[in-house]
Amino acid sequence: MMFQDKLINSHPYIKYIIVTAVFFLVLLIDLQFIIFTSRTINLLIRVVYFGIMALGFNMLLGYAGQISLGHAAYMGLGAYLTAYFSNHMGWNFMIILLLSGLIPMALGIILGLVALRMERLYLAIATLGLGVTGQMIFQEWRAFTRGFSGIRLERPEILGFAFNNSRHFLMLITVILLLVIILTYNFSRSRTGRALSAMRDSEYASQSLGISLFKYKLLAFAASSFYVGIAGSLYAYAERYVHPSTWGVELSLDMLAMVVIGGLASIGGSLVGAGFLVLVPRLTAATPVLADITNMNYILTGLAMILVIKYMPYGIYTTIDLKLIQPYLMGRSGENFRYQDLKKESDS
Amino acid sequence: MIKRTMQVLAVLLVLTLAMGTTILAVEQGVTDDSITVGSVGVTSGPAAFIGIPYYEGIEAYFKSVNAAEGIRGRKIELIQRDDEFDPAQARDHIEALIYDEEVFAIVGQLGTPGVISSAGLVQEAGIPSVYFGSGAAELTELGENFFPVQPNYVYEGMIMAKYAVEHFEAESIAVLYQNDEVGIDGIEGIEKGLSEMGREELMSDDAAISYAPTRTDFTAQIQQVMVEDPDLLFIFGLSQTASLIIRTMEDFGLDIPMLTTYSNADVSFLDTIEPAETAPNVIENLHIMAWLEVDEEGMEPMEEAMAEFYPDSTINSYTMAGWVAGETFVAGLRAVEGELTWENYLVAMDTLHFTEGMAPEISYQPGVREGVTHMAVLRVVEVNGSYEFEQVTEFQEF
Repeated sequence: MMFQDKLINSHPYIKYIIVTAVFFLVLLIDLQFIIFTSRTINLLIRVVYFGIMALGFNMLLGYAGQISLGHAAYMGLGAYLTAYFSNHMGWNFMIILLLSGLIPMALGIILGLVALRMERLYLAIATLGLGVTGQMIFQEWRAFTRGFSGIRLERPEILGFAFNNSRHFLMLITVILLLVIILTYNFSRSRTGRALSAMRDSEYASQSLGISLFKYKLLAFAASSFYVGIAGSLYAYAERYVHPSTWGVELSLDMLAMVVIGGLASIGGSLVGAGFLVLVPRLTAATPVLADITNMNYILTGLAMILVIKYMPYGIYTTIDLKLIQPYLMGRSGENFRYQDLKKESDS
Repeated sequence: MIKRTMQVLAVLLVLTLAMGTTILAVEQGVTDDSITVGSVGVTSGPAAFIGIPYYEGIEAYFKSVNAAEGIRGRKIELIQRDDEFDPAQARDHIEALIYDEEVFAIVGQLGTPGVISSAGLVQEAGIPSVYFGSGAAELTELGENFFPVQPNYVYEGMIMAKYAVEHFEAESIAVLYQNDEVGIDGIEGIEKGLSEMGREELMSDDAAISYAPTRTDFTAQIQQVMVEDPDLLFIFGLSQTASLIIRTMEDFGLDIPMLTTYSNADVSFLDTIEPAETAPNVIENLHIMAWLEVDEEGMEPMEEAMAEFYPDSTINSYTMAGWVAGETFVAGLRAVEGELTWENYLVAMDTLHFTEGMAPEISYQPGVREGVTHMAVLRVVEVNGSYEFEQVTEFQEF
């Protein structure tokens, strides 16, 4: 077995660390020689925080098989909490970030206790109601959100260093993304993660194995609310402005689109999906003929969803991974890593 | 292994941050023969009817200055970016203009949400930002590099209250205001104005009726106004909602005088109402605030420039606003003593007293950023089947 193979097998998420390190190096070079424009850096920042959001939503939809059309409300809550704590309390960045995940998570558990007694379409409608209610609260609760006036806030500061420069901020949230990826990877391969997957594949079979559907559905709901709250916090810091129009049902549908287009139950898929939804509108706007067609980005996103469901039912990333990357790795080492992973899990 | 990799990443992060970033030169955007400035505002989508003539006004002024040999031999170049009325896009564009395009100043940024969302960036960079297509009162308090021109909505609210008492002789008023920076500032100004005149009794708490700027149905709000039965209705909302309110008033037969913000003072706003079709009875009750006091002679330079550079375009109040934005920026340039740097420009603007332009008077003092304070009331009148404005009061201060 080659060294790389041993490395990948002993530390399965090393590929994420390597990719992050390479990305970091590129950013380091960019910092000194200014290769990317500020606009490109801001787009990359969006890919990162939407990536965390998509990872959270994938936890619910991809790993646990539960639908929600109201997750934008949790992200909005995370963003408003960050703005409020930052402007009124002046708390430390890490504490604010953590609270902006934990409070939506607590709310997610409370609402989940009610909503998760429902299934499929009824769950979708119940969570849609939650999302719409959340947005109305953001619009009307001026003391907390400043309503349609929106809230401005500053970029975070750590140990006296202010991340005002967008390049510095991108590096910071890339590190956070890496931590979230490692957490997700371990979670998905833990006892809980396996129980979620079992529940998604067959509720009857999983119940016969002693898995409490309600407990694990609630866990998935809580974990995804936490992630989405964190993404909301990073959104607020990144954009430095929080406005209620952001947290509508369109954002919840974007989450759905990201994980379906990128790949269900896949870390790489979440990131690819986020990249797709952030970059397609910008590429559309930069293309001469397409730019003249109103709402072309929505049309393309809808078209992409139809094509992906038809021809790549596992999502863009997962399809490329299974058809190109895995066969390449198998051809090189003669072993199937997916099979090895499964074997290792069953052995343990 | 993982621990070691994380350590390497942490070291990389610290090293990167320690290396710092490029420091901006204050003379950015200035060469021997040009001064590059930037602006962000909507020029596509439903609100494009504001942005397109507005930027034509700015460009027409700059082109006329350039045609007359520029400013000390330097031509002014404008980089305009479309934010589609989206605050996030506005912020991105402002950041790109400051750090990528390295413009000398931001001139005439258009649209309250975009202006507010990017204000922190402008504050942080210290770049001069002259004229805002917004009346948010917050702009008057953001710092020494902000130079608002348009009246702020708090002040406009105060002067509207004054006209309610003195011109309309109203015994009771009601206010429909959108619950964002525009309407909240407006209602604050109305209350302040009434209070300073000792006439708080004119408006009861129930007569101040808010609505979301995204609202499309005003039935409930108009019914509440009818319950209040006021002598005068203030509409503190921007074009889309204001035109729907006026149509709903027609539907309910609510035939009382209305007074709305200067942001709607243009014929293109009347076009969105389509008064002949949807509001033939109530439209002539519509009064609008105005802040530009221009006679035919004052209009001549703009009309000549527009005829030369944009012969196919119609001149409206947004074109005039753009022209004033250009005039104000250039007035500051002409007042600079010494090298053209941010510092010298800010010093020149800080004591600017400009009276030769289209606006009656634009002046600043250290720490004072009030914008224009003279306003008048216009009324909609029908002339040969089309609707236009007629001035019904003198320009006054509160």
